[in-house]
Amino acid sequence: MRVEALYDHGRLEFTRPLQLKHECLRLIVEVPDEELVTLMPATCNLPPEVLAQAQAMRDRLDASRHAPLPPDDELPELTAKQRERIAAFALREGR
Amino acid sequence: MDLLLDINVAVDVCTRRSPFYQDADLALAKCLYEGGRLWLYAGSVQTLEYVTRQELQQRQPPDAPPLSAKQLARQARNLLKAFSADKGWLAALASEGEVFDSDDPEDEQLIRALDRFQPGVIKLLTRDQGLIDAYLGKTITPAQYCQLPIKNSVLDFIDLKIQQDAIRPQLENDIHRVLHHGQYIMGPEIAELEAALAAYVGVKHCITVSSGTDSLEIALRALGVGPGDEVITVPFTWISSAEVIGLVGATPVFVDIEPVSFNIDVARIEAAITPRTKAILPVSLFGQMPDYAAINAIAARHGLAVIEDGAQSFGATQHGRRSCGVTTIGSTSFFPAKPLGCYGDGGALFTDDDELAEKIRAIRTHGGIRRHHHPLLGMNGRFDTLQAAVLLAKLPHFAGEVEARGRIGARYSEQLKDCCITPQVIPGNTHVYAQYTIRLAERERVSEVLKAQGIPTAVYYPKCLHEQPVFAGLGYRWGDFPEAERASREVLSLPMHPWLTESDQDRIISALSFCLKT
Repeated sequence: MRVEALYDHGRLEFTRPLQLKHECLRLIVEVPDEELVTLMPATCNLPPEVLAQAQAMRDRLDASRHAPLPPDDELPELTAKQRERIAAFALREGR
Repeated sequence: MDLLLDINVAVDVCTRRSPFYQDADLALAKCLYEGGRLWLYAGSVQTLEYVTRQELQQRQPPDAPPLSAKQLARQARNLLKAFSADKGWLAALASEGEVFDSDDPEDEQLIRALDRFQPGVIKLLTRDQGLIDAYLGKTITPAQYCQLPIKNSVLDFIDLKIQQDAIRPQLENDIHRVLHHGQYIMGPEIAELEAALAAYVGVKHCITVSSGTDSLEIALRALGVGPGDEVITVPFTWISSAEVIGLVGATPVFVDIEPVSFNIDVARIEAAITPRTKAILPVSLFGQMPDYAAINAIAARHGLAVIEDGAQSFGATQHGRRSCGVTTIGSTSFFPAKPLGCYGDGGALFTDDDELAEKIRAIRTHGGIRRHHHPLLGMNGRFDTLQAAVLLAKLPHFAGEVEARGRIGARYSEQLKDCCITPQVIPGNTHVYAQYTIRLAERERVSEVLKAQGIPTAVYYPKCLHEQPVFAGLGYRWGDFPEAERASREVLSLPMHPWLTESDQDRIISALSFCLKT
């Protein structure tokens, strides 16, 4: 069902009262193309401290990812149980 | 708000999965910035490991030699270790096992795990549209979370969550062990804790009890204090210290405090001793001990017992000796906000006297010395086994927390010394700052200004005990204890706990300094 709503300084309000089953509901809103100036990125309201913290976390994970790994022959063999588990998960993911 | 991370978000971040990881990185950072906590579900470990490994395999750089299966497995585990290092593990509970009627048991487990929190304090961070549509109020995407307005964090006066997060694995193990062995009253954890605490304090006996207040009452009963007796204590303290004297039928006799440490003014004790005086009950207020060498000497001259009310000072020392180990009986409290706090009420008594210890144990258990034989009047004063399990999980960290309290208190004092009266550590003492308490003339205004900036304060104590209606019959009047009365009108306690970060402390110091200069 299409219903009318008014946009007013960041808030949407239905023009006629609606009684809905759920307290929270995801709705798709059609915004006229000519109204849209910019689709703001998720970062637009975040303070610099958050951006810096995100970068620090990213650097830590990237360092871990790029840390040199031991050569294959220095690592313990995957056990039969580990191989079975990998295969089982692969089957599940492929379902 | 806390966030429980769905596997898709965790893998986005771990494996730098484009275009999703940027929003996820920001959502995680925003949550921490706002004082929220990030959780991973322990029941998801296998899936998390497999999907991470699978993603790493698919995203191997084309210009590098491919990693072997073993190397991929190692890389996935290394990444997950690094990723989970600053996150909490949410244990899978029994109620999350029976999910076989669900279309997606793993999702069902995650959603059910949210239900153990109060409504609205946590959401599942996911980009699984099916989950979002089905559980709109319980889920949020990283992009949606980033767009929520930033909340100004409100500091905790005492933050017990950080400590709980740090000890959660041991805590859950210990609690579950009690649930499974089922000895809820006087289980093996009680004896284990008592032995550890006696060793820590440096005395022969520790007897745990149901609260800090019961601990004081049991101490008085064990010493035979009763109707017609007088016990000397201070009027500037929590009501328990004097309440228990009345409860055993004796009379509290107040002695004023000295203004520097807020503790009993030792020079005034002897003037308060009468032939009816049976004991001295000094309070080691806010985390620092009064001069027990002097107090014990006075007590010895007059044949009196000394009970240290060390509810706030557990861990403090005086000339190298620990609080609760320097008097006839030491008493402490394990109320949650105390330096060593459990998750309910609790307390303990400490003594080197074998006979007293025997009496205390009997009084704690209805005055019985063996089953169905009760030579004394006692009380139902035992400490719960579950609470002992909590303290056993906390105890290995306690020395570090005491050290942190001293460091944080000293930093406050150094930086606030020019704008208000800061607490002083008496030579020979260490201070555990159960409360970090300053003195100032206009505390109501200061308290309101700080509150508006998300900084809580507290007043311990706004009234002296001789002002309390319950003690009106003692005949004291306003003006009898000028130092205690002045302290009660000037003290203000600031946020204090061992995990207070320097940046949060700087925020408090800066707000307070600015407020006092304007």
